[in-house]
Amino acid sequence: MKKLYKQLNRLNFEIDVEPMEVSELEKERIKRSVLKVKRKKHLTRNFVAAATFLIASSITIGFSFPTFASNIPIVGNVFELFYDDEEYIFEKYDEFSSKLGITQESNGVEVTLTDAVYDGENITVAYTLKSNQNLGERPVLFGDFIAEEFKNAHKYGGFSENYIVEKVNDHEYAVLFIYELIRGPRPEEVHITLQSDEIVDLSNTSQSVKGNWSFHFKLNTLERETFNLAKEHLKTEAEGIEVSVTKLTETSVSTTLYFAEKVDEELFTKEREEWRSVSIDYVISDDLGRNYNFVHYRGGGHNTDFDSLWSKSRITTNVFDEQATSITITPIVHVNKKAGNGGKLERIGEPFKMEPITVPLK
Amino acid sequence: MKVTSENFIKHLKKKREEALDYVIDNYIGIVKAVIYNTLKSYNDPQIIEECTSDTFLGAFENAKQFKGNEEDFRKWICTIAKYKAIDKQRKLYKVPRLYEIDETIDSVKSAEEEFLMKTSSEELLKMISKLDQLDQDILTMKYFLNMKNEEIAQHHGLSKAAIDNRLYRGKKRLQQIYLRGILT
Repeated sequence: MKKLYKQLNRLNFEIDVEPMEVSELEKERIKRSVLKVKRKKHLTRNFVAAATFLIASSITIGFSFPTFASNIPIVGNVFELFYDDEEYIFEKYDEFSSKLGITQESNGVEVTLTDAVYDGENITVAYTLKSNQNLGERPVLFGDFIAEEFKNAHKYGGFSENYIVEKVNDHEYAVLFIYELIRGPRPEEVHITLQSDEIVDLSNTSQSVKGNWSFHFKLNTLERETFNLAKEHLKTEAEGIEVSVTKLTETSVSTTLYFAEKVDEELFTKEREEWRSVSIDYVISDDLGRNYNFVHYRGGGHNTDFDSLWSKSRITTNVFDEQATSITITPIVHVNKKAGNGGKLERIGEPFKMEPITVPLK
Repeated sequence: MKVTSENFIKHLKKKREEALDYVIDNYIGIVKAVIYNTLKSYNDPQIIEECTSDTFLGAFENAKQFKGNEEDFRKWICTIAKYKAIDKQRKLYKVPRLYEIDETIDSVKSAEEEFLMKTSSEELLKMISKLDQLDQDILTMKYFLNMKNEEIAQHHGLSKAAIDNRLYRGKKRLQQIYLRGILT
């Protein structure tokens, strides 16, 4: 269906009609129905871009960065730049990453891809940006990330993109781009094209620097092992909410937990008139008392009206400690309402902590 | 951020809701008119409203495919509206429908026409994309926008006979493509 809109544009065809009267009420109804469909579709798809990180707060909150001395030169291990004081999900990445070291310059911005890892669950690409211009707080390459092998399988909601940006000094930034494979194939080898014509500051998306950067590289997947937990009844419940762990995948660099969240928003929020949404954050710790950082994909959202109460979310964290014998997962539930017209969300009330789920490790 | 006639296309491509708001505010009248002209015989405001929403959603989701200025945008969104209305008509056509006794019943349709009406838009689009550019344009106008052969001729600066001829051959080609699709 994709080409049709281009074709309709190309026709450059004039339809001669007089605009009709549209009542305010009708206009409002149409706006609402368009936004409703749009939200439903885009919650999964444009996770990063559309929600301007509001919904994605756990990603940003989840990582607190140590401050770096401004004179650290970017050489060697980029992942190290993102090290947290304690642990960080990229702990083991350097050992397993493919060194890329490809540099391209355009419009005064030098982009160097330093490393990349593909572990079958996520593709993580580390790059640095260097420029004499001011690129803002959280600049990233904005554009297409294409893996030939995926064809179109990941196109609609099949992936989620995350960016973590570290400002090294006034002219240098280090960026971790995490492409999460949600649905579709996970081939052994991927040929990737990263194309961008814009560097956008995620803290202020109206600021961008145009240019042309394009990279090609190949990655092989790391070994991984998957455990199906759907029949283990690892779940926790509260009125209107049910969370269960369905799958766990271990790779050399990370562990990914898959969740099924069932939320009846009306029932949980006890609100039937006003629009409410429910989002679930997690706290992951082990029996040794260690907390884990993670990258969180929130799934498709919940909706009472559309009869789609289920959402599949997932979390990618570090490899669990070898000494640990179990993992504790505590869901923390927030209720949101709309703030203003822009589709922004605002949290209301106190977060609700559910009974934790304990996952034994073999 | 203020959305204006200068920057709304850019923002729409970036999927800003404010831009969508702007587009709905400014184009709803004309979009509704286009749809109304096609679907008025159904006499159902709900269908028209649905189609109007679909049009804006379609434009929003496919904004990246659009190239041009404000004037081109107006043409584009009207063409989308027309397409959505025809598409709706095609879908409604498959649903049995009650006719008023005094309503003029559609003239008898040829088997090919019948087939084209019943084929889904997606299939049709796929098949059409295999033809050359001019035929693609003509068939899009004919089957997605339900234009008369005279109108198509006028738009392309060709004679009506030339359009008739191209349509005839185009339909033949489509049939071949369709059959090949079934047989292989």
